[in-house]
Amino acid sequence: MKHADFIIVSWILSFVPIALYAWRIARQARRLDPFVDEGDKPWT
Amino acid sequence: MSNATTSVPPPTRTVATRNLGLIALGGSVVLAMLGLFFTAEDVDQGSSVRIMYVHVPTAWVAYLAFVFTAACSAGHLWGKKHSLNLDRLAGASAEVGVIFMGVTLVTGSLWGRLSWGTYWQWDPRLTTTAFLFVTYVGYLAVRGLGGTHQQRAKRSAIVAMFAVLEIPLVHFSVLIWRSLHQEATVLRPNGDVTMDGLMLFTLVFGVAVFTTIFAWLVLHRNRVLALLDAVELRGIDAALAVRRAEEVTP
Repeated sequence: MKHADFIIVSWILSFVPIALYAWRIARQARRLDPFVDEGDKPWT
Repeated sequence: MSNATTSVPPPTRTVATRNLGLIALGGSVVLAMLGLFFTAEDVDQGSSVRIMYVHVPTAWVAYLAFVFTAACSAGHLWGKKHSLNLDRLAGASAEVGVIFMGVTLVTGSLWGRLSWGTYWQWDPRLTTTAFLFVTYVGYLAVRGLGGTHQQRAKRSAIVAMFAVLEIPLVHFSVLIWRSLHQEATVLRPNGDVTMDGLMLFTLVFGVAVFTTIFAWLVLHRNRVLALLDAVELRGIDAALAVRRAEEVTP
Protein backbone atom coordinates (compact mmCIF):
# COMPACT_ATOMS: atom_id res chain seq x y z
CA MET A 1 0.00 0.00 0.00
CA LYS A 2 1.05 3.56 -0.62
CA HIS A 3 1.53 6.08 2.20
CA ALA A 4 -1.80 7.81 1.48
CA ASP A 5 -3.62 4.46 1.35
CA PHE A 6 -2.76 3.81 5.01
CA ILE A 7 -4.33 7.12 5.97
CA ILE A 8 -7.51 6.55 3.94
CA VAL A 9 -7.85 2.96 5.21
CA SER A 10 -7.40 4.19 8.80
CA TRP A 11 -10.24 6.68 8.43
CA ILE A 12 -12.51 4.15 6.73
CA LEU A 13 -11.80 1.55 9.42
CA SER A 14 -12.63 4.13 12.08
CA PHE A 15 -16.13 4.87 10.87
CA VAL A 16 -17.27 1.60 9.25
CA PRO A 17 -17.40 -0.45 12.51
CA ILE A 18 -19.33 2.36 14.20
CA ALA A 19 -21.80 2.53 11.30
CA LEU A 20 -22.25 -1.26 11.32
CA TYR A 21 -22.84 -1.23 15.08
CA ALA A 22 -25.44 1.55 14.74
CA TRP A 23 -27.18 -0.41 11.96
CA ARG A 24 -27.20 -3.56 14.13
CA ILE A 25 -28.76 -1.65 17.06
CA ALA A 26 -31.49 -0.21 14.81
CA ARG A 27 -32.26 -3.62 13.30
CA GLN A 28 -32.46 -5.26 16.73
CA ALA A 29 -34.77 -2.48 18.00
CA ARG A 30 -37.16 -3.01 15.07
CA ARG A 31 -37.20 -6.78 15.63
CA LEU A 32 -38.01 -6.40 19.34
CA ASP A 33 -40.62 -3.68 18.92
CA PRO A 34 -43.64 -5.94 18.15
CA PHE A 35 -43.05 -7.89 21.39
CA VAL A 36 -43.10 -4.96 23.82
CA ASP A 37 -45.77 -2.56 25.07
CA GLU A 38 -45.53 1.21 24.98
CA GLY A 39 -45.14 1.04 28.77
CA ASP A 40 -41.79 -0.69 28.28
CA LYS A 41 -40.57 2.39 26.40
CA PRO A 42 -40.42 5.24 28.97
CA TRP A 43 -38.46 7.42 26.51
CA THR A 44 -41.44 7.74 24.13
CA MET B 1 -39.95 -6.99 3.25
CA SER B 2 -36.82 -4.88 3.26
CA ASN B 3 -38.86 -1.71 2.73
CA ALA B 4 -41.00 -2.47 5.77
CA THR B 5 -37.96 -2.93 8.00
CA THR B 6 -35.85 -0.07 6.74
CA SER B 7 -38.38 2.73 6.26
CA VAL B 8 -39.81 2.57 9.79
CA PRO B 9 -37.67 4.51 12.29
CA PRO B 10 -36.29 2.41 15.15
CA PRO B 11 -38.45 2.51 18.31
CA THR B 12 -35.47 3.76 20.31
CA ARG B 13 -35.46 7.07 18.41
CA THR B 14 -36.58 10.35 19.97
CA VAL B 15 -36.19 13.95 18.83
CA ALA B 16 -33.14 14.31 21.10
CA THR B 17 -31.35 11.22 19.73
CA ARG B 18 -32.18 12.21 16.16
CA ASN B 19 -30.64 15.65 16.70
CA LEU B 20 -27.66 14.11 18.46
CA GLY B 21 -27.19 11.74 15.51
CA LEU B 22 -27.34 14.61 13.02
CA ILE B 23 -24.76 16.59 15.03
CA ALA B 24 -22.51 13.50 15.13
CA LEU B 25 -22.88 12.96 11.37
CA GLY B 26 -22.23 16.61 10.50
CA GLY B 27 -19.31 16.74 12.92
CA SER B 28 -17.78 13.62 11.36
CA VAL B 29 -17.89 15.21 7.89
CA VAL B 30 -16.24 18.42 9.19
CA LEU B 31 -13.65 16.37 11.08
CA ALA B 32 -12.78 14.43 7.90
CA MET B 33 -12.40 17.70 5.97
CA LEU B 34 -10.17 19.22 8.64
CA GLY B 35 -8.14 16.09 9.32
CA LEU B 36 -7.60 14.98 5.73
CA PHE B 37 -7.36 18.28 3.84
CA PHE B 38 -7.01 21.45 5.91
CA THR B 39 -4.48 20.61 8.62
CA ALA B 40 -0.77 20.85 7.89
CA GLU B 41 1.57 17.89 7.65
CA ASP B 42 3.79 17.19 10.64
CA VAL B 43 7.47 18.20 10.47
CA ASP B 44 8.65 14.73 11.53
CA GLN B 45 5.81 12.39 10.54
CA GLY B 46 4.58 14.04 7.35
CA SER B 47 1.01 13.21 6.32
CA SER B 48 0.78 10.12 8.52
CA VAL B 49 -0.09 12.48 11.38
CA ARG B 50 -3.60 12.60 9.85
CA ILE B 51 -4.27 9.20 11.47
CA MET B 52 -3.90 10.95 14.84
CA TYR B 53 -7.28 12.71 14.40
CA VAL B 54 -9.10 9.37 14.63
CA HIS B 55 -6.61 7.33 16.66
CA VAL B 56 -6.29 9.64 19.70
CA PRO B 57 -9.99 10.64 20.03
CA THR B 58 -11.18 7.02 19.83
CA ALA B 59 -8.66 6.07 22.52
CA TRP B 60 -9.73 8.90 24.83
CA VAL B 61 -13.44 8.20 24.30
CA ALA B 62 -12.84 4.48 24.93
CA TYR B 63 -11.27 5.45 28.29
CA LEU B 64 -14.30 7.69 28.93
CA ALA B 65 -16.63 4.79 28.08
CA PHE B 66 -14.91 2.46 30.52
CA VAL B 67 -14.89 5.08 33.30
CA PHE B 68 -18.62 5.69 32.62
CA THR B 69 -19.19 1.93 32.83
CA ALA B 70 -17.46 1.88 36.22
CA ALA B 71 -19.43 4.93 37.45
CA CYS B 72 -22.77 3.36 36.44
CA SER B 73 -21.69 0.06 38.01
CA ALA B 74 -20.83 1.85 41.27
CA GLY B 75 -24.23 3.57 41.10
CA HIS B 76 -25.90 0.19 40.71
CA LEU B 77 -23.93 -1.51 43.49
CA TRP B 78 -24.20 1.24 46.10
CA GLY B 79 -27.42 2.95 45.02
CA LYS B 80 -30.47 2.39 47.20
CA LYS B 81 -32.60 1.07 44.33
CA HIS B 82 -29.87 -1.06 42.65
CA SER B 83 -31.12 0.39 39.38
CA LEU B 84 -31.13 -1.99 36.42
CA ASN B 85 -31.11 0.99 34.10
CA LEU B 86 -27.67 1.93 35.44
CA ASP B 87 -26.56 -1.65 34.75
CA ARG B 88 -27.83 -1.42 31.16
CA LEU B 89 -26.07 1.93 30.72
CA ALA B 90 -22.86 0.32 31.98
CA GLY B 91 -23.24 -2.53 29.48
CA ALA B 92 -24.05 -0.20 26.58
CA SER B 93 -21.08 2.02 27.40
CA ALA B 94 -18.71 -0.96 27.61
CA GLU B 95 -19.88 -2.25 24.21
CA VAL B 96 -19.24 1.11 22.56
CA GLY B 97 -15.92 1.38 24.42
CA VAL B 98 -14.80 -1.98 23.05
CA ILE B 99 -15.59 -0.85 19.50
CA PHE B 100 -13.67 2.40 19.99
CA MET B 101 -10.75 0.57 21.59
CA GLY B 102 -10.72 -1.85 18.64
CA VAL B 103 -10.61 1.14 16.26
CA THR B 104 -7.73 2.57 18.32
CA LEU B 105 -5.77 -0.67 18.01
CA VAL B 106 -6.36 -0.97 14.25
CA THR B 107 -5.56 2.66 13.42
CA GLY B 108 -2.56 2.55 15.76
CA SER B 109 -1.33 -0.55 13.98
CA LEU B 110 -1.56 1.18 10.59
CA TRP B 111 0.11 4.30 11.98
CA GLY B 112 2.83 2.09 13.48
CA ARG B 113 3.49 0.54 10.06
CA LEU B 114 4.14 4.02 8.67
CA SER B 115 6.12 5.35 11.65
CA TRP B 116 7.99 2.31 12.96
CA GLY B 117 7.88 0.00 9.92
CA THR B 118 5.85 -2.67 11.74
CA TYR B 119 2.16 -3.29 12.45
CA TRP B 120 2.72 -4.59 15.96
CA GLN B 121 5.33 -4.60 18.71
CA TRP B 122 4.97 -6.03 22.21
CA ASP B 123 5.58 -2.54 23.50
CA PRO B 124 4.22 -1.52 26.97
CA ARG B 125 1.56 0.87 25.58
CA LEU B 126 0.40 -1.52 22.83
CA THR B 127 0.39 -4.54 25.13
CA THR B 128 -1.51 -2.82 27.96
CA THR B 129 -4.03 -1.42 25.46
CA ALA B 130 -4.60 -4.88 23.97
CA PHE B 131 -4.98 -6.23 27.52
CA LEU B 132 -7.57 -3.54 28.30
CA PHE B 133 -9.47 -4.45 25.12
CA VAL B 134 -9.49 -8.16 26.02
CA THR B 135 -10.56 -7.35 29.59
CA TYR B 136 -13.67 -5.54 28.38
CA VAL B 137 -14.46 -8.28 25.86
CA GLY B 138 -14.38 -10.52 28.95
CA TYR B 139 -16.65 -8.09 30.78
CA LEU B 140 -19.18 -8.36 27.94
CA ALA B 141 -18.89 -12.18 28.09
CA VAL B 142 -19.65 -12.02 31.84
CA ARG B 143 -22.77 -9.96 31.07
CA GLY B 144 -23.91 -12.75 28.74
CA LEU B 145 -23.84 -15.43 31.44
CA GLY B 146 -27.13 -16.81 32.74
CA GLY B 147 -29.12 -15.77 35.81
CA THR B 148 -31.60 -13.07 36.73
CA HIS B 149 -31.15 -9.44 35.68
CA GLN B 150 -30.09 -8.52 39.23
CA GLN B 151 -27.49 -11.31 39.28
CA ARG B 152 -26.14 -10.17 35.92
CA ALA B 153 -25.98 -6.58 37.12
CA LYS B 154 -24.18 -7.36 40.37
CA ARG B 155 -21.50 -9.66 38.97
CA SER B 156 -20.76 -7.47 35.94
CA ALA B 157 -20.60 -4.36 38.15
CA ILE B 158 -17.92 -6.00 40.30
CA VAL B 159 -15.91 -6.91 37.18
CA ALA B 160 -16.24 -3.34 35.87
CA MET B 161 -14.96 -1.87 39.15
CA PHE B 162 -11.75 -3.92 38.82
CA ALA B 163 -11.36 -3.52 35.04
CA VAL B 164 -11.30 0.30 35.20
CA LEU B 165 -8.13 0.14 37.32
CA GLU B 166 -6.23 -0.80 34.14
CA ILE B 167 -6.74 2.61 32.54
CA PRO B 168 -4.07 4.49 34.57
CA LEU B 169 -1.69 1.62 33.78
CA VAL B 170 -2.32 2.05 30.04
CA HIS B 171 -2.07 5.85 30.14
CA PHE B 172 1.15 5.98 32.18
CA SER B 173 2.75 2.91 30.57
CA VAL B 174 4.84 5.17 28.31
CA LEU B 175 6.30 6.84 31.42
CA ILE B 176 6.65 3.78 33.64
CA TRP B 177 8.45 1.61 31.07
CA ARG B 178 10.70 2.30 28.08
CA SER B 179 8.25 2.49 25.20
CA LEU B 180 8.37 2.76 21.43
CA HIS B 181 5.08 4.67 21.61
CA GLN B 182 5.44 8.42 21.96
CA GLU B 183 4.59 10.14 25.23
CA ALA B 184 1.44 12.24 25.61
CA THR B 185 1.33 15.32 23.37
CA VAL B 186 -1.62 17.08 24.96
CA LEU B 187 -2.18 15.53 28.40
CA ARG B 188 1.38 16.16 29.57
CA PRO B 189 2.22 16.23 33.28
CA ASN B 190 3.72 19.77 32.90
CA GLY B 191 0.70 21.01 30.88
CA ASP B 192 2.91 22.26 28.03
CA VAL B 193 1.25 21.63 24.62
CA THR B 194 3.54 21.92 21.59
CA MET B 195 1.15 21.58 18.68
CA ASP B 196 0.06 23.81 15.81
CA GLY B 197 -3.20 25.68 16.50
CA LEU B 198 -5.33 24.07 13.78
CA MET B 199 -3.90 20.63 14.52
CA LEU B 200 -4.78 21.00 18.20
CA PHE B 201 -8.24 22.33 17.33
CA THR B 202 -8.87 19.38 14.98
CA LEU B 203 -7.74 16.94 17.65
CA VAL B 204 -10.02 18.48 20.29
CA PHE B 205 -12.85 18.69 17.74
CA GLY B 206 -12.31 14.99 16.99
CA VAL B 207 -12.71 14.21 20.70
CA ALA B 208 -15.97 16.21 20.74
CA VAL B 209 -17.28 14.40 17.62
CA PHE B 210 -16.44 10.92 18.92
CA THR B 211 -17.92 11.81 22.33
CA THR B 212 -21.16 12.78 20.55
CA ILE B 213 -21.12 9.51 18.60
CA PHE B 214 -20.52 7.68 21.88
CA ALA B 215 -23.48 9.38 23.59
CA TRP B 216 -25.75 8.68 20.60
CA LEU B 217 -24.81 4.99 20.46
CA VAL B 218 -25.07 4.49 24.23
CA LEU B 219 -28.55 6.04 24.36
CA HIS B 220 -29.83 3.78 21.58
CA ARG B 221 -28.10 0.67 22.88
CA ASN B 222 -29.37 1.30 26.42
CA ARG B 223 -32.93 1.44 25.08
CA VAL B 224 -32.46 -1.76 23.06
CA LEU B 225 -31.15 -3.50 26.19
CA ALA B 226 -34.28 -2.28 28.04
CA LEU B 227 -36.45 -3.79 25.27
CA LEU B 228 -34.49 -7.06 25.48
CA ASP B 229 -34.99 -7.23 29.26
CA ALA B 230 -38.73 -6.49 28.85
CA VAL B 231 -39.14 -9.24 26.23
CA GLU B 232 -37.25 -11.68 28.43
CA LEU B 233 -39.42 -10.88 31.46
CA ARG B 234 -42.54 -11.21 29.33
CA GLY B 235 -41.35 -14.65 28.19
CA ILE B 236 -40.74 -15.74 31.78
CA ASP B 237 -44.18 -14.45 32.85
CA ALA B 238 -45.83 -16.32 29.98
CA ALA B 239 -44.00 -19.55 30.84
CA LEU B 240 -45.03 -19.21 34.51
CA ALA B 241 -48.66 -18.65 33.50
CA VAL B 242 -48.64 -21.83 31.38
CA ARG B 243 -47.09 -23.78 34.26
CA ARG B 244 -49.69 -22.51 36.75
CA ALA B 245 -52.48 -23.40 34.34
CA GLU B 246 -51.06 -26.93 34.07
CA GLU B 247 -51.04 -27.25 37.88
CA VAL B 248 -54.66 -26.12 38.20
CA THR B 249 -56.09 -28.44 35.55
CA PRO B 250 -56.12 -32.09 36.75
